Amino acid sequence: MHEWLLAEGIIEEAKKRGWRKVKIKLGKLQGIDREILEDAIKRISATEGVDLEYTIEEVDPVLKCKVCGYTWRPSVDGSKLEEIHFLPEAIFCFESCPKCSSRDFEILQGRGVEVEPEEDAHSEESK
Amino acid sequence: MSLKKTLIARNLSRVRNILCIASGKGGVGKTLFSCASALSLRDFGYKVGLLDLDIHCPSCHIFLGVKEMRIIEDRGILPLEHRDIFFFSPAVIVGDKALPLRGGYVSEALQEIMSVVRWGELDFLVIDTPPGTGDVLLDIVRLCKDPKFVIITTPAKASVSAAFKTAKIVGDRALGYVVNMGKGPLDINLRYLGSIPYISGLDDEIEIKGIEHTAFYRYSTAIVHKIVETLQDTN
Repeated sequence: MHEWLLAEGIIEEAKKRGWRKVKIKLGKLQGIDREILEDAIKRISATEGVDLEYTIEEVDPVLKCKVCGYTWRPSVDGSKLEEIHFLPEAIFCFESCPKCSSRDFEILQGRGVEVEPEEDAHSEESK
Repeated sequence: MSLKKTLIARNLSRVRNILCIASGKGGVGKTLFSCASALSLRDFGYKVGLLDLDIHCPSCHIFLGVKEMRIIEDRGILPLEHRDIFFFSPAVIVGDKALPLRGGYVSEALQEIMSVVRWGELDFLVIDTPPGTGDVLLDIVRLCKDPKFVIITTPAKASVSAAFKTAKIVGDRALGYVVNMGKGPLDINLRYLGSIPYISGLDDEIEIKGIEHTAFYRYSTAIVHKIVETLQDTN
């Protein structure tokens, strides 16, 4: 599962930077299964002896048409989900502006997965 | 970005050589030479991956005759195995659908693909790059550890000029240049790796017999041999 790869990356990134507490932003466009991700983080942390605290913020996708300026929240159905799960830019294959039909739009939010420190007190970077 | 960078470094950590086939101009034979290079390296006994990073118009799968394009999930995506090479292309995910991406999204898509595809241990990862000197070239230089570039050009002035610009951008990562559809070295201040003459009816020959049974492949193999020697000299 993609979620396991992400969990490995999140833990490695936190270890590398000395982060003990992180915020994980999950763009809903990518359809990451939160339960699987959390389970993967828990199991990998236990295996590697890492004590990582985290919070998860799920971010709804919002798109904006570059032609007419209309903004909208796309609904991603099952037939498109696998493509977008692995490549969020695949949304450009499927979606068009509901108002003017243009396929020239931008993703304002909710694209992928980001991780950032939630506190800097123990971070290597802050030393 | 840093999460993706971490994942990309993990996915490429056991790849010994990254060989990018590049040129500023389109239509000079990058994709065919990329495919031929991967197959030649396989023939030399190396473990080889081929990554098509022409995000807008991937076409390595067409030259290679990859019929079954499907996502193989295993803590990410595993490359397809085809003719004893490992292969991945954006087309594995989006098929033949048009992907109308602006520049920034090309970069995002490239990073997403590189962060999700697990290559494992490889002697060579050959990367087919799109024409131009933009996002893809810059991202490869930024994200890959010690990539090497082979610049491909035709003898046409416009192509040579574009090759020269590409070489400037990748700097000492350029191993040399290849002349396609021409004979002999050109006035380019880089190591000359070899030429492939114009071969009439090549597309049909590939379609009927496969790349390995073409004159293009014989010329390419000699050039790839020189590329390997050059790499050994520079390491």
